Amino acid sequence: MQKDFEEIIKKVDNYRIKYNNTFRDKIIEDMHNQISDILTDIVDYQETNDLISKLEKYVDLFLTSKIGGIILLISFLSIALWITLTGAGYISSFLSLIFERIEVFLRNILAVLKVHDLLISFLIDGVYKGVAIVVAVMLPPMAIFFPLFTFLEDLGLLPRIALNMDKIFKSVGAHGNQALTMIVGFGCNAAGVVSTRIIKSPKERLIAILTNNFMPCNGRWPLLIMISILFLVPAITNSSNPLLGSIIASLALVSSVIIGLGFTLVVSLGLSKALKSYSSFYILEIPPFRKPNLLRIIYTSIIDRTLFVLSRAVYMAIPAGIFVWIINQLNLSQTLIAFFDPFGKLFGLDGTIILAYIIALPANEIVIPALMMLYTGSKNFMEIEELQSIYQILTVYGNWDWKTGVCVMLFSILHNPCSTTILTIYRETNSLKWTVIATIMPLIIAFSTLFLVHNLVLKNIH
Amino acid sequence: MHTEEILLVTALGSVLILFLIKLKNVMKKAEEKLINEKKEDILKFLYKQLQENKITTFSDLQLFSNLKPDRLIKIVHILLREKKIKYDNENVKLTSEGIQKAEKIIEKHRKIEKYLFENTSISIEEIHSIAEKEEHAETKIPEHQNSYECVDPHGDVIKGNSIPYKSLLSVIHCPEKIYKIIHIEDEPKEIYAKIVKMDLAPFEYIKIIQLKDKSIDILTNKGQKLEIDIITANNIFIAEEKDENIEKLFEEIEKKISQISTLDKLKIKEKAKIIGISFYIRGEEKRRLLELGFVKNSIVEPLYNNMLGDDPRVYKIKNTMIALRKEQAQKIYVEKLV
Amino acid sequence: MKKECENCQILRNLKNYNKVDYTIALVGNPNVGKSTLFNYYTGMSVRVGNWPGKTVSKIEGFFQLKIQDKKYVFKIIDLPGVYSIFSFTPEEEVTRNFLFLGSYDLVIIILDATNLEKNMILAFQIFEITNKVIFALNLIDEAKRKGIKIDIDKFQDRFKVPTIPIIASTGYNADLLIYKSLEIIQGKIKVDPLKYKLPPELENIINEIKKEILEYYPELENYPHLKWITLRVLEGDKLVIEMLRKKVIPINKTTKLLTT
Repeated sequence: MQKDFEEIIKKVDNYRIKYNNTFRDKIIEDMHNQISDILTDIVDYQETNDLISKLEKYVDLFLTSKIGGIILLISFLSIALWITLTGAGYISSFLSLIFERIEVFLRNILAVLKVHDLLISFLIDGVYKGVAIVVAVMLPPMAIFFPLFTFLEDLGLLPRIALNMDKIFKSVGAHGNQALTMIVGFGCNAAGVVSTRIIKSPKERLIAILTNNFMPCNGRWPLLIMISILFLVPAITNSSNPLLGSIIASLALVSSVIIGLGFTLVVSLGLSKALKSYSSFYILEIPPFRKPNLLRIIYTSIIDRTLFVLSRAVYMAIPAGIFVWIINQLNLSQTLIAFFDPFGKLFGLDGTIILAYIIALPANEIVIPALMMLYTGSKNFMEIEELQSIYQILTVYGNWDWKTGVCVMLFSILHNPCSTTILTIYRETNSLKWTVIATIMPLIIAFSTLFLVHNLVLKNIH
Repeated sequence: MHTEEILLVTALGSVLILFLIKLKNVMKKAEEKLINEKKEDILKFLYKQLQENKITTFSDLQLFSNLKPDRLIKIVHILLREKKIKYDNENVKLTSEGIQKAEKIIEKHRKIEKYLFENTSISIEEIHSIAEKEEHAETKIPEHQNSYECVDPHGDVIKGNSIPYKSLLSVIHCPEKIYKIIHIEDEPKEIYAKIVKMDLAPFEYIKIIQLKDKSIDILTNKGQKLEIDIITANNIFIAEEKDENIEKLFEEIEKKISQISTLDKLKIKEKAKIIGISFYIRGEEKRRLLELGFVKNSIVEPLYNNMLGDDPRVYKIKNTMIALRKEQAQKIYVEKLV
Repeated sequence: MKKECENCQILRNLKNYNKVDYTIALVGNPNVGKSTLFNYYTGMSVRVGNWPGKTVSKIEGFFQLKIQDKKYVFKIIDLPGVYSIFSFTPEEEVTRNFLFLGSYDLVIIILDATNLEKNMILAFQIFEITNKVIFALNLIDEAKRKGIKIDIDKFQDRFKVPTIPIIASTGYNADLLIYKSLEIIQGKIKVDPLKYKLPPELENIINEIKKEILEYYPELENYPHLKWITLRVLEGDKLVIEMLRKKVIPINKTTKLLTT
């Protein structure tokens, strides 16, 4: 007769109860002890006079001391910001140049092929330009950021920064590694979301993903800088001293980062209370300093991450390009602006700004060109270099003053993530629910903050 | 009246009727859910009474369930119809079917508790009240687990009965005796939190050192000397354990008691040997720590603090550097090496 | 900066080679140089996908090696880095399921020489599921620099597993690793790794349960990893318990090594 399986399970259960259900723990413990025994006369640890080994200890002590920690953090932060603000710009303009050449080339080919004018306009002005502008602005920061991040990760510096920052993040129920993902977020939020993979604990990782958006990314910096210089500086001082002006502009930028940081911490705290059904743990391995493997870095950062994120960006840019093209072809923009205007006015914005942000869903970089396009009634995105002409357009067509500037800055910091980031969040969380929350939550926060600031604070200042 | 108006009124009317029907359905469902919950609670209560060999009258039920009499009668009638309970000389008793059902509910409760303990970050004091709600719902939580579990976080056997145990308070006159903690009562929450804070957990061993008027002095198998007041002691349940290994363990611990400490109290560069880690380090975190070598007899050494202080701190174990937060280090027991 | 395998030919697609001769899996803790070794063999030509139903990426590549006028096509799978295979995280589950149910000819266990003790836990667990193993002792240069001396002969002897010291970042001994692997796959070297010794009281329980399982499922009589299965049952592994209940343990898979 065959044995009943349930009887075996029952017997097993009895044993497990007798041994307190800790077979697994006991076995791991026992394995460790056996391995230690076996290895005692195989592995021999000797004191070396090796300079590097000795140096490592001192470097570690230095990096985790107050001075060293701050130096490490600030240098990483400044490299990150430099790349975002300056470094990437060179490559960006170079890429734009190439894309312009290609555009001319494509137009010629299509003309030779005797394609209908409307179709040419659709393909070039709609699809191609949308993709080109997104690639030109998104590729450079990612192409620099990802390798740099992987390089520092391999070198072993990043875990030390995370260790130093952990106390702050622990107080809001998050993980120290979130500091790193936030710094990557300065470059690109989609990249920041991908980099949350370094947080192994499910709850803290979700927190990092959902709050990464509050770090102003590469695409938002130009807008923040522009508004600081054009509207905030004149509002605060009448002096034309350039030094004073740049100090005020920098302070405005720093405070926008601080606002983003504040929202990150508050929202993290709220999320850590709400996400109790996710498991949470903190164990941070501090790897030894190691010579990074360049081939691997290039491989993982370019193939695995940059192209990954960029392909998504392109994927999202095509429909947006088509959307803009259709709006322009049908002359819909004025209708839409009029439609959004009353809503925008509630928050100290206007219909044009709302429409510009809708158009700029694929990438925050195109907010300014879209604003210029909509205010001037042009058919194409307008890249204007001259700050004064921008100022003219905004004040003449858009009736902007410094209060509008403050509202747009706040909206820029707090609003929803770009579509590439949204898609990335979906890929990383594999959950529609969290993707929707990640999109809606910042919008609600942005509008309610703006509503309060606009109606309670700004309206009372004259 | 115009045809349009008639149509409009009819349309509105039918929408209203549909809405009312829907509302009624919703209310009916809510009522059904409530009755089901109360039904299950009553079965559990009866089961508990049965285990404690107490008889239950109808008024006991009323006192327990806090329901209006007519509703209670309705529920009791349903239970009678389902043959889960029976009347026996004015007393309410569970039938064998009722016992089965009650055991199933309790089993589910414990499974949920175990799941919440291992897979979420819900604090241990709250686990019981959440499980109390979840056990009535059509929850799929236990199915998500990767492994079969047999004991819940309070030490109870999930399917079936635990070995007999008694309260720590019932120990009257036998100091120097070793007991095993079998079960810890999770209600009221405040006392449970206190027990958790003292790190007393199921499957740990304790040795009674001294019985005082209002408290009991004990020594744990992790080398901690604790004073437990009688109210707390009443919620800790123990059984006698005669095992030579355990006795030897306590002898050793008593010998080196001055060297015993927790990981967070070690000074930088002060080497120590791990005695064990707390029961309340749970789930993924516990498995990781064990895999990384935080097991009995491993040597550990705090290497350095971080920029902002000693939380988290970097420890060297098995030639690897691991950073742990203070709360974690507090739950790891070590013996300083001299 | 050429760090690719010199003697092996990287295959960018398999269309011209309609058959894979041998499948090799790379297993190891996180950060032991698994991916570096993988890239050394396959260069940039990798196939990245997802493991079925998981968000863990599945990385595989192909290369060809010529040994004594005979060409062999290898498929190499980079399993996710794990500390153990008790199947809790998705990564652990993927690795465990592949080792237990997947088909492969050899597992290369990559060890970090600077950190042997921690790495061996995983190795011990893998020995319970398969005999088809070889050790790659990575980072020996760094270990040497740090004053860690490892007696490789003794190590090999004690664990009864061929061990090749390598430096994945420079490719040192990486070819030797494949030659040795081939010898094991072709049965020229027999491997019977040292098994983890259970404490006596546990051993008795295991034996008892083992007997019961055999009565229920007699086909497991000669199954080499019955002990592992029994241990998993005692630990409460749902997958293994369900497979036992339905009697669908892949018995023949592990004996493939002996027959080919």
